[in-house]
Amino acid sequence: MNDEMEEIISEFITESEESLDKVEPMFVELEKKGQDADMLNEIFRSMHTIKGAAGFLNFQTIVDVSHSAENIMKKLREGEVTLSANLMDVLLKAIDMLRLLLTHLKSKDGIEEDVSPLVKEMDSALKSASGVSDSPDMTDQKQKHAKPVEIEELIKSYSETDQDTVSAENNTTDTGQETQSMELNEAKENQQKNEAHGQKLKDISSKNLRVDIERIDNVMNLAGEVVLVRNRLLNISSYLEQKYGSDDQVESLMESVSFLDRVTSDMQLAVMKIRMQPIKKVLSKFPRLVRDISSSVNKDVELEIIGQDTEVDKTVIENIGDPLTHILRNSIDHGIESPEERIKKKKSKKGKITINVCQRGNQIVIEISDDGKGIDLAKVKSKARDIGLITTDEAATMTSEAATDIIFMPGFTMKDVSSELSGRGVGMDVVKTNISQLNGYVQVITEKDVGTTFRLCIPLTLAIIQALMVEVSGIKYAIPLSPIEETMKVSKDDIESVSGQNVIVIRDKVYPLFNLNRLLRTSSDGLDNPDHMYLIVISLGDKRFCVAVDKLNGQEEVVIKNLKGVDTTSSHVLGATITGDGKVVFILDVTGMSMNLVGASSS
Amino acid sequence: MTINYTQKVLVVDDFSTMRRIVKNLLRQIGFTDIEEAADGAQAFSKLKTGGFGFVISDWNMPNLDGIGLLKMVRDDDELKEIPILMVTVESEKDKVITAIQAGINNYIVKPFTGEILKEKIDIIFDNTSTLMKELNK
Repeated sequence: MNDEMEEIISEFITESEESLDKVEPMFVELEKKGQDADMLNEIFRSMHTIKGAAGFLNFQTIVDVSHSAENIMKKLREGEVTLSANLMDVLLKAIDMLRLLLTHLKSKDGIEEDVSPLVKEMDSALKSASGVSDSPDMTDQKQKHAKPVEIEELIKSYSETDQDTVSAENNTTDTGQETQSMELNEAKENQQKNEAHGQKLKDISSKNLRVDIERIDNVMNLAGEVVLVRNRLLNISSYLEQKYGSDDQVESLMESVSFLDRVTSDMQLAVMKIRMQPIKKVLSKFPRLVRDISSSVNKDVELEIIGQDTEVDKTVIENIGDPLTHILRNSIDHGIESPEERIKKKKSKKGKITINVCQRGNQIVIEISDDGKGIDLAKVKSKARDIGLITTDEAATMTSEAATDIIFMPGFTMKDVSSELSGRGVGMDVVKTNISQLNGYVQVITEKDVGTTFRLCIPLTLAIIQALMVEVSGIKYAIPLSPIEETMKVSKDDIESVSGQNVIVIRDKVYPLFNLNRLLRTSSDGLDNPDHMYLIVISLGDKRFCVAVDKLNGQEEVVIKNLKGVDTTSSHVLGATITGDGKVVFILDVTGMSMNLVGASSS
Repeated sequence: MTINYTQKVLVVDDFSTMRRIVKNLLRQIGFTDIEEAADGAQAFSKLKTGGFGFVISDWNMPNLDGIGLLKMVRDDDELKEIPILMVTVESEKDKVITAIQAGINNYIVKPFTGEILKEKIDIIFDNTSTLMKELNK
């Protein structure tokens, strides 16, 4: 029984949190629209449902808060009061409190919150919104509610007589005939309303299934293993085909392996999709965030979200919230000007931030654009020089793309005194780190007085990737294919040196060149054959550089296996994989490597 | 009259936690065969498959709400006798009267305990057996 209760409570917490997630952005929408029967109803039902279950589970504080919220929602729904800023604030406070109470439940920390001040605040906000005056309402209520004793008698009387005499009975009861027919009509109306809205509020529980995350991860892991084995079989069978191609059995084997190959690819896609969810899960909290932040700095900002149905992997959903929040804060704090400034610049008083999510090839691209004042690169450079992040020389020769990268350097800040929000110098570098951990990268496009766009590019799948197999000094490595622009064979005569840095000119563009051994700081220094080498041209955002290796061993689909106890940031290793010929090979983190390179920007 | 605890019960509510809570309470009372539905429409189709002893239903649900389900059941020749227990909230007492006219057997206010639920179920079956006695006279 106890386990059952545990599960019920856990389900209650999950469902309530989801319910709150769903209705919170509706509040901000309602503030804009003013009225929307469906939304008001949704929010009401959400509070009503949470209160109902909490009552059974004896969570009195949750009952109290949701009860007061439900009261307010009821009045709003019935049009008896209008949604003032005061009511909105108090309702949002209620949602925050409910979230807090649910968090306490989840962590079982036993902390109790005193909700009575909030409840009082909510009740008085409702009173003042309804123009007060208790008396007329109360007497109406008394008449509407029949006393419990009467109802019991009614039930007894109905069960003992047949339907025909029921209507006669109606007339003789205390509640009176008019109220009876009114209620019947009301019931009919509600029924019609429910049926009409029923289509919109269709219950999707029958289409969904709750599954333990661990089970899904287990399936993903097994799928990964199947991919590895498939790679092995492809490898072995191609060898056998060369050697024993005419043998019937070998032919059958080839057919089977070919089929396995196709099915495995399909399975991979299908398994990847299991973990994908619409990104709106993360984006839904932003309308409110933008509202709260902009009012705290006295700016007027509108948020538009496009493409919230775009699906992304669960890991992205779990890790993209923080970077997006930092960027939004940055845009509101530093990007969007105050209403007065905007008017002076002949811009609309209301600033606009757009979040645009779309899938491009095998990447998810998230763009956050504001129509603010843009990033003043000259100021950024001089500030960075003052703080000591770059030297005067670097500031002078730096390209504008490299300059925008400065804002991501740890410790960089534009403010002299940290404001409440940003300006402490920890926001933007966290963004860059978070995104690289998702194997993605950030680009910044900015124009003075026009605005700034942050573009986040993240690969679709994280577990299985296409990789280029390379070899340097006899050791094999795998390099993810996505940042690779091209590969080429060069001789040592093609390499030049500029200010001590090896470079190569490709189609009139100069690319810095790095020896993979040096990048990985392995013990071997040079390349096996200094006369010839293979170059891998890497393109990451605006960074372009070349990595030199001894051999290229073709492309392979690899499953990234995480390595426990390895510091991926300092070692530049994403993980390891088992190749088609059964060997363990490190997968390199090119994005990580690129962050430590100086002078890797395109010129 | 002793209640038949082996009869099949249908629990209707659009919030799955609620269904679980009610199911748990029913099990504590002694019922073992309990099925669920998330709205009135689902409930009606389930009932049509036959064999249900009684129904406990919430009132506010999408697609087809409590009173809608009630009316469909009472209109249906096969199902019209099925006892229905309506789950309501404190402030909806005025709706109870509408429900009584439409034919619920009893109502129960949430939150309720297993004991209260048992009492209400007892009353339903007591009333039904009284009704049967009356009809057979």
